[in-house]
Amino acid sequence: MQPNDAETNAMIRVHDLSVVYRQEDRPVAALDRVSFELDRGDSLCIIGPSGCGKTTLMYVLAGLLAPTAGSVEVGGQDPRRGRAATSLILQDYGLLPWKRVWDNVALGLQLRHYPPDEVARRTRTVLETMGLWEFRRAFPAALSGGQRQRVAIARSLATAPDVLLMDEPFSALDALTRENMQDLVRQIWQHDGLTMVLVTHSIEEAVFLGRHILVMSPRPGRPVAFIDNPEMTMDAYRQHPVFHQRCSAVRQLFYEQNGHTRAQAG
Amino acid sequence: MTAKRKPALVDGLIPFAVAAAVLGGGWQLLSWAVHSPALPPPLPAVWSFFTAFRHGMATHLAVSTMRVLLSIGWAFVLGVPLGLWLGRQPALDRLLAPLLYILYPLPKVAFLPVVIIILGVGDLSKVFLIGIIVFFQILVSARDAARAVPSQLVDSVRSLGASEWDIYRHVIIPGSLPDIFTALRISVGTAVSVLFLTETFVTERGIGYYLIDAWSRLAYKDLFGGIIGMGLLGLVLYVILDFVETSACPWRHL
Ligand SMILES: Nc1ncnc2c1ncn2[C@@H]1O[C@H](COP(=O)(O)OP(=O)(O)OP(=O)(O)O)[C@@H](O)[C@H]1O
Ligand SMILES: [Mg+2]
Repeated sequence: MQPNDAETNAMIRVHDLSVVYRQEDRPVAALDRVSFELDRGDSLCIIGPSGCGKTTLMYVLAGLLAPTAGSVEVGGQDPRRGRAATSLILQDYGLLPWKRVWDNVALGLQLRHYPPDEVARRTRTVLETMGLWEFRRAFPAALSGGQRQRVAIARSLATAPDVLLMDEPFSALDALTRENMQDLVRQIWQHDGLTMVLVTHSIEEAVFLGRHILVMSPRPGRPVAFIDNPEMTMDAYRQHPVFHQRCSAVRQLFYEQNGHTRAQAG
Repeated sequence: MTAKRKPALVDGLIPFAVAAAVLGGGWQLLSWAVHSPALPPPLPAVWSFFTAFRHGMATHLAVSTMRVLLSIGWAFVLGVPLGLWLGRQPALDRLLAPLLYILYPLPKVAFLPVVIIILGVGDLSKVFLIGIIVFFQILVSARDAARAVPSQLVDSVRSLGASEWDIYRHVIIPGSLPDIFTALRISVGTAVSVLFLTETFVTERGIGYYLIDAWSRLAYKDLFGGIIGMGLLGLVLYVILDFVETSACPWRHL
């Protein structure tokens, strides 16, 4: 990933992206001239203070929100045109409480008009790989937080995406479950060759899952630092000294930004 | 999901036994206290309900049930889609809100004379009047329910490639169902009360007419037999609604 660089292999291109919300005719700038590129099969973690526009950025990448200014390309096209191979996992899972696990996971396939036997086959496969087959008839409310998160991931993998967008997917999980899920996502990312963008509040998570880390300024969000993290593919990275050094480095950058936040809020 | 709350028939009947005991007991005590022919004790009233049921009250009840069902029916068929749709059109909703809030609390029963002039004295005017009252209840509930569906659910389903109709089908409609059932339960109560009122005017059929007729004849046992009939009408409708709700919203009954 390089800021402002026209590379040919880029899966995600964001150029001078700004987003301004209108709230009762008062403009609220959420993102301010954000630019970056991310290669196919690469991973990017975004951290930044609360309210700096991270969710907004994910919405733009998923095509749910139009940029106010600037341009965004995912897989060479405008995400607003609806890109079937992009999957989004939202902050609080976005599972439908009224659908059983099976129906939640099958939904993406059904909405894209796969034939019923193909829906059944793919749903079964992904549920089995994620260890969820025995819960297929359960409603989300009857699952643990970790299981629910697995279902959300299963649902976004069922359509075989090549871009996976995750907005604080693990923030509601306890520490152990969280590490398990991080391991799972990293496995999937490596195995499936996905291009992955993940928003997180956890520096450790960013360093564990991001081959690149983008630190944002307080609102309106601007990129204030890009950190390369090539060692993240190592086995047992969490135990590695480099992991801890990188966490400290990111933490230092991050708190320089948080100082700004306090000054602005105070 | 499994092994929870599967009431046996007997367990299911206990609440009804409790209701009968409390109502019957209270009624009996009250009638002892009042000690007037205007409040007969429950057993003779129940007896007169059964005899009256075989001698004509059944038709009155059937006519009334049909009026209530038709009224709630048209109000539901129009009110739910319109309400759900309004709930997703903030601009239009803001435009129509004042109109809605003027019409909604207006005592529409006051228009009964006009309604009778326009629609006649038959079933049509009754079904219209009951329905229009219930319609606003259902409309407003459906609109609020659609508004309350978390936007993140809509967004996440949209990101899976959903069309606007898919959003209604998979998110808005199921998400609003519990509130719509609540609205329907309230509607049953409203409909039965308004029904009574409309049936006291120029008609000779319906449980409301039956009550007024018994009253004017000072036939208090018949009057209370009729009240029991009206109560049972409400009870049956509620039980049916509960049953439909449990099967339509299984995620609410884990
Ligand atoms: N629909 C909206 N209308 C108006 N303002 C909005 C809207 N959505 C977000 N905002 C504002 O835009 C800014 C960025 O919001 P966003 O949700 O993208 O932040 P975030 O970085 O994801 O925050 P968090 O870390 O708390 O999730 C916030 O100040 C927020 O108040
Ligand atoms: Mg957010």
